[in-house]
Amino acid sequence: MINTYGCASPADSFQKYSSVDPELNIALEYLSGWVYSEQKGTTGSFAQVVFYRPQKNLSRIAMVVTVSPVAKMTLTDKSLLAVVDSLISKRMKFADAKVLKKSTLNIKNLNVDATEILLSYKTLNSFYSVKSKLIILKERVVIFEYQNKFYTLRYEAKDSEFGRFDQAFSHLIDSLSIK
Amino acid sequence: MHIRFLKKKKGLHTLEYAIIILIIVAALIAIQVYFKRGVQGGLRDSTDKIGNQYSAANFTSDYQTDTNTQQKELRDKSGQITTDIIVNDQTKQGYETVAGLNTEDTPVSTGAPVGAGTVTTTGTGTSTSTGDDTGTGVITGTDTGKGKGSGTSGSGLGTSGSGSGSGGAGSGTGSGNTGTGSGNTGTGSGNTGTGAGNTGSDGAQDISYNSTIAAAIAALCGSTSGASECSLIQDKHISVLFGDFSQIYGDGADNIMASWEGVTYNTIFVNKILETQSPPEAIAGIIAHEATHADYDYYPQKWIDSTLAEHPGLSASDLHIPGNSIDQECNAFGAATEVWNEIKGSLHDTVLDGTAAAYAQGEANMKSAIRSTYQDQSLPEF
Repeated sequence: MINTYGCASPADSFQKYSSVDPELNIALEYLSGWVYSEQKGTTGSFAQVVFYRPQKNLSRIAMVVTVSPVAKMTLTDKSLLAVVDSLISKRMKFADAKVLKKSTLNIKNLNVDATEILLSYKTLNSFYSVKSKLIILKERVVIFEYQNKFYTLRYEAKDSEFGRFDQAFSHLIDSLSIK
Repeated sequence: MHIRFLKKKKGLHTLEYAIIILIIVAALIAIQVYFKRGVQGGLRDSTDKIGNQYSAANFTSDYQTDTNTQQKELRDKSGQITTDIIVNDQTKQGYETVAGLNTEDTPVSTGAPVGAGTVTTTGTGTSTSTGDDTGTGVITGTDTGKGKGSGTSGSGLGTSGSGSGSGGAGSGTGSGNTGTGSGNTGTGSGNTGTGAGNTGSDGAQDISYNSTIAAAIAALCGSTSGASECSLIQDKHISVLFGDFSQIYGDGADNIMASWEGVTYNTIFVNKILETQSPPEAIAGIIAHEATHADYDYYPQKWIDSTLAEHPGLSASDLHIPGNSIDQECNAFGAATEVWNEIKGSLHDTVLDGTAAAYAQGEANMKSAIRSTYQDQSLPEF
C-alpha cells in the first residue's frame, strides 16, 4: 500500500506510522510529507516499509525498516555479527565501497544493542535510465536482533545530501516500537 | 450512242451475273472447310475448357512463398500509435502439374477420334482422325503479389497482392486416316497471389531486426539464462526496435531505457541512444528485462500462480497481473542481470553493471531501491 497524505507538512515535523502488515508489527515516526510503502519478500523472508520523498525528480533518498524472521534467513550463522558481516560483504560489490564507521547503538524503546554501520559506495543515481550515472551514496545501517527477528534500519542518500535527513533518521530509530 | 451501248451491255451483263454466281458458289465450296474448322475449333476450345485442366487424382503442386515485412511503429505525445508498413513483399513461386490425362476415368480412344486434332482435308468428304491426346500440361506460374499499407494505432490496411501465371504447353500426336492431329494445348493459370498487408504489429511474420538489435538478440539467444526470453520473442514474433522516446512518450521521456508496449503492439522499444552507447550484450540484458514484462502479459496465469506460491499471504486480488508492479520490476531486473552477468565477458556498462551490483544486495534492497527511485510512484507492490 502507498500512503500519500501529509505532503504539506514541514520537513522537520513527523507523523506516526503503524504497520498494516502483521509481519512488520512496528510503529514509528517518520518525516511529514514523505510517503511509504510496505513490501514483502519471497516466501516470507522479510517484511519491510520504505519511506521516501514524493517527487518527480527522484533522488536516492530513502529510509527503510526491514524485519527478517531468523527462521527464514538463509545464512548458516544467524548471529548478529554474521548478519552484519554479510551485509558489508554485499556492499563491497559496489564500486569504491568503504565502511566509514562501525559502532554499537542502544535502541531506547526496546533496550537492545544494535550494530551501526556507516558506508559509502558508488551506485546508480536511478535505475533503468539512459542518463543513469554513478553517484557516491552514503548509507547508515542499524541492525539488531529482537524476539527471533532481525531488524535492519537503513537510511541512504547521496553523499552531498546525506546530512539533510540524518537527524530525521535518528528520530525514526528512537521512535521505533514493537506493537 | 449511249442507248446502243446500253443495249449491247445488257447481253454481257447476264453472263457476268452467271459467272459471278459461279465464282461465289465455288468460293463457298472452297472455304467450306474453313467454316468447318472454325466450328470444330470452337467446339474443341469449349471441350478443352471443360476438361483436361485439372484432375484431382493427378494434380500436384509445389509452391514457396517468401515474405519480407518491415514496419515502423511510433507513439506520439498523445499516446496514439502510428504504424507504417515500410515493406511488405510476398513472392510466391512454384508449379502445378496435371499429368496422365489419358489415364483418366474417361474413355481412352482406341481408334475412335478422341479430342481434336487439326485435320487437313482436301476437297469434300469426311476425314476421320484417330489420336490420343497425350498432352501433359505443366503449369508454371509465378505470383508476385505485393502488399503495402499503413495504418493508425497499429492497424494497417494492406492491399492484396495479385499474381498471374502462364500455363505450360502440352503437346500430343495423333494419326488419323487421312489427317494428322495435334494434342491438346495445355493452358493453365498460375495461382492468384494473395499478399496481405500487415495489420498493425503483425505477429505472424518473420521480423527483420536492426543489425545491433539482431546482434543483441543473438547474444540473448546464445545465453542459458536468456533462453526463456529468447523463446518468447521468437514464438510471439515480438518486434524489437530502437525508438526515440521523446517522440514516443513526449518531452522528458528521452531517458527511458526501454519499454514493452503490450500484447496489442507486440513491440519492445529500446532507446535509440543505446545503439551507439551500449554493446549488444548490454542491450541483450535490457531486452531480457522487457521480455520478462512481455512474459507477464502473455502468460499471466503462470505468474499469478508463481507469485502466490512465493507469497502465501497474498491472494489473487492483491496482484496486478497483467500489469506492472515492484515485484515484476524486480524479476525483470533479475532477468537482465542474469543475462548480463553470463555474457558480458570483459565488457563494462554503467547501467547494467550498476543494476547487477544493486541486485546482488538481495531482494529487500532491490525492492526498496526500485520503490524509492522509480518514476511511477503509484506502482503497486504486486
